[in-house]
Amino acid sequence: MSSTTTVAGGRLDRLLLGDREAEGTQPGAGPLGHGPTIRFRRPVPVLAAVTVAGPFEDEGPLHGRFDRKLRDHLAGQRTWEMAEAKFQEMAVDMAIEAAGLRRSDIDAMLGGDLLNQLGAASFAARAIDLPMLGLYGACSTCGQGLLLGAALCDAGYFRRVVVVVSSHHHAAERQFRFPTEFGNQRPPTAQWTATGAAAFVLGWPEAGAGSGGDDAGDGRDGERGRGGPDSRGDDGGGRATRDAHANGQGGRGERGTSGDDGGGRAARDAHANGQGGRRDLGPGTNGHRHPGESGVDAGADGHGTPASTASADRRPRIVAGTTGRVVDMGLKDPFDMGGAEAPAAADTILRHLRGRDKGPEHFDAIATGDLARYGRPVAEELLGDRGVEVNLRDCGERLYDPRRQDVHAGGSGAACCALVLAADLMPKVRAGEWQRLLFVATGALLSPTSYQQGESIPCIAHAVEIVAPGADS
Amino acid sequence: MLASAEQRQRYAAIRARHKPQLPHLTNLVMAFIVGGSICAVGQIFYNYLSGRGLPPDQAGAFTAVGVVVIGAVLTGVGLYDEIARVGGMGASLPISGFANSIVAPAMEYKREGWVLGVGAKMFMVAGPVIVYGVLTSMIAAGIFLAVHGQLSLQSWLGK
Repeated sequence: MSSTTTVAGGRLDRLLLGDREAEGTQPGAGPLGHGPTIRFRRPVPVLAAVTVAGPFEDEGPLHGRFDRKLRDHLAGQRTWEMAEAKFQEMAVDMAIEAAGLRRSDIDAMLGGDLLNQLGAASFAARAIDLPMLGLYGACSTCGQGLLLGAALCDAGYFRRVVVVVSSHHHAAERQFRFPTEFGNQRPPTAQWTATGAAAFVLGWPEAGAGSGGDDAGDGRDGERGRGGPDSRGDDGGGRATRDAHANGQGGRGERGTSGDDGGGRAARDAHANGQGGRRDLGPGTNGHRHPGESGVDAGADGHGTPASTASADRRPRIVAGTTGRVVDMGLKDPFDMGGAEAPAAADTILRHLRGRDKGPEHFDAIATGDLARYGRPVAEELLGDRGVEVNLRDCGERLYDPRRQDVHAGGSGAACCALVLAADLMPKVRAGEWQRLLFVATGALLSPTSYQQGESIPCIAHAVEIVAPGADS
Repeated sequence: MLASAEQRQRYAAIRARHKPQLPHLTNLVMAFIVGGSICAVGQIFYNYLSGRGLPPDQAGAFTAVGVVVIGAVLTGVGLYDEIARVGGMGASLPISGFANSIVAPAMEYKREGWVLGVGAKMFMVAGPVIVYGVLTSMIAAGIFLAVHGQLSLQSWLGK
């Protein structure tokens, strides 16, 4: 692809990276990867990924792989907007259940959608009654939420968060375009806003359910901590766990000796202790000590060696991420989101590779969402020009079947890449089919007001690096 | 980052290479078929009404009412947007398309109430058509007046 272009590498360097290239995305900018690319000190497990999909979405290539399929677009509600809020509510509840947790185990909900004033997330949070942080990143909200959620959990402020995003075809149409029943013809580059919601529970697994379970979990955690090299099974053990440790081993949380782990946080809380601070094993094996899916089989790996515990944990983990920049290449056509977003995706991928000091071959898959059919090749060309030859896998092309479903270029909407990530990509990582996935969610940050006033479309892309259980961080 | 003019130009060229052409031929053919079918239905109306002895201007008015009703009903049952997706301007241009542009927002915004919803939003699509239709009529009438010295079409036709 690069052979077809006449753009010199250096020129495109500027094109995509701009003048801030030298600032913070260089490898070795800091032990924690200071700058837009974050390498988490402790890989953050994805405890559950759950999807609620609309009827049209379930007719696509991912048929039958969604956790819940909706019969209609209203879900028993009176309006599209409240239906979308309901999708989020359902997704959050299902995700918490799938993680073997209860609402009280979740410290915050990070929710986003496409509606004005985050209509869906706000009303979902009203129903769910979790502390809520609202996010807007248009179709990139999923990446934004995973990045922020992982950062909050890794930092230790929250034990667990649920990230939920949604979109609703009809609600988005009426807000951004025309009333749903209005007849108009869309160009081939138009994309179809997906209906659905996806929720992800991130953070440290609870060792048991309920207060009694907590106690039992502590016991196991403590045992594990003392008994073996797995010094940090307790990192996310929740309040009870932390209290237990405070009593136990005092605060030896050597931040200095192991700057890249969770010990620093624990030390600051004075809950940390021998286990929390000591980092005998690399972060890559940390996740192994988290109990299995249900949370109750924590004891199974209590005394296990890392090798044996590896099989017990089947959770993908978020190891790194890159915050997107707003990139605006001057396109103004609101029916060509893929074209507008492609440079943002390429920019974030380049900066992530640079920040991680890795090549594209480091990843088994680089998935973008949602550049769709005519945007993905553009991003590939832009990357090819920079010497990064890669076949992107685009979520917008994955959600619908272009031969049977008349969606033009593909899917879009906050739910699109979230549904594909949770129903298609994440299971591949969990199964170990892919060791390492770079998920790059793209969003067009336009509003009806901005494009009616003639502004071009600002776009953003956030990258999240997700690794298989057992993979190096 | 807002790209510089040079960067924008270069990117527009890259984009253009990957951007699909509009399927003009298909669109034209489908617009002809869909638009033609709607007009044929109107013609059947007109011929029927004329055959029953209605004068031409009244037959024309009732034909317009009939096609509007068809457009509104098809919008209400959720078919007109599908027809327009295929037929494009062939579905939008006839008066049934005008009906669609009023009924669709009325349906959509009913949830915001009769005043702020239906009342305020009903003409959100048709409004510009009416505004500029009236404006264009005024300009045309002005030209007509300037050329013929009077506004009576019938007397002009009678000459």
